Amino acid sequence: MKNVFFALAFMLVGTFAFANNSIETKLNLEETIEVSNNNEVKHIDYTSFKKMLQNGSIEQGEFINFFFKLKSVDYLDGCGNWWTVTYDDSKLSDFSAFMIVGNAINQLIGC
Amino acid sequence: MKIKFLIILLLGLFCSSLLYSQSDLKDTLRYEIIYKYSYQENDTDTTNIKMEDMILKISKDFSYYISLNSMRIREVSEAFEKTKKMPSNLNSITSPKIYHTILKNYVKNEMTFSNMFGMSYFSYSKKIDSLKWTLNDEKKDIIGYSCQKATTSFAGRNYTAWFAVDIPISDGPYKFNGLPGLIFTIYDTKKQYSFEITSIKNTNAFFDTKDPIYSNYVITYDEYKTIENKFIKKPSSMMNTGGIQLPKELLDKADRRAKEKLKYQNNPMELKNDE
Repeated sequence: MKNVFFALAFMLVGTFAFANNSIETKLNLEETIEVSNNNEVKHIDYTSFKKMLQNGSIEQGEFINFFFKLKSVDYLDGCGNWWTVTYDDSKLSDFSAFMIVGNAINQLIGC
Repeated sequence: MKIKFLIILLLGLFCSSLLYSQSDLKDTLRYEIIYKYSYQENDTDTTNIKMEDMILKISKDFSYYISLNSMRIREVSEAFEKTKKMPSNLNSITSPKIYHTILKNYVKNEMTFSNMFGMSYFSYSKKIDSLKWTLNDEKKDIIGYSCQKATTSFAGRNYTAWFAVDIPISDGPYKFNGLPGLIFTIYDTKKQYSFEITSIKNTNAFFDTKDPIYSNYVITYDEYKTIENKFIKKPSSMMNTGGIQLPKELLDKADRRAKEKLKYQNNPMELKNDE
């Protein structure tokens, strides 16, 4: 049995922004999973982790220590307020998250 | 461990598909109609009339009614999910004012009403409303189509409608239906709520009613009314679900705004309950 375990490394790997009328969004990406066994340490993203599960790279009996991570979106609404919203990226894609957040802020406070 | 993990993953996927499956329909469309929806939220404040463009998509077996701005958000989201590229037309999108959607399933004679409360959709299904119409001989042209007058009452208001004689589709905006032709214009006698057609086009585009980004919780009508009342009075009590957490300051602001809206918005379209 290979001695493999996963640990999350919270790293800021990028930001991007777009204008939606007067709403500006910055998405903070934290997307690295550290994979290590007895021989090597490497960094993979969550998509690669899922592929490893699907293609059998992780075999039955291996020990997986996995923690879901949170991301955050900084929103500048139409009234000039900045809001930092966190979300679980195991449930939502980045794009879905900030579209949903934008709609929610608009519905809640009319900005 | 791996097997256990995959079983949990599969169970999760199965359950999430159940959320959608009850009301998801897809087919080639026949018509896309755009209506200008005007509404007066306060009974006496006639100076504050709000407007939103709504689109009615009609296929052989169903129709789907949604805000045009919501539709554009859906289209952008669908494009992003396919290409994973940031859409170039984000600047052209305006936030919607109307969040509800109505799916009429002609085959099952069933209507599914969905509304967004915060970060999820909640929907209930019932029989399509059976409206009693009185036909009038009066006719007039609307955007080049001959239309006939008809009147009805619905949920506490009296309405006048104009339907296209030459388009034999028994449907219209919102929950209105049941005339021998497509409703082009309908307004209540107080002129507080109105739907006016602005365009109609033939199309063979494919349409899937399933929303690409939002979860949809299928509930009963009574459960829906409970959730709606809860959200109207204290929206913060419905938030921070589905993996998204909004800041407390934002939620407090939302609750304060909800109290003000409760006082002002005293003129709902449906004066009597749906059921």
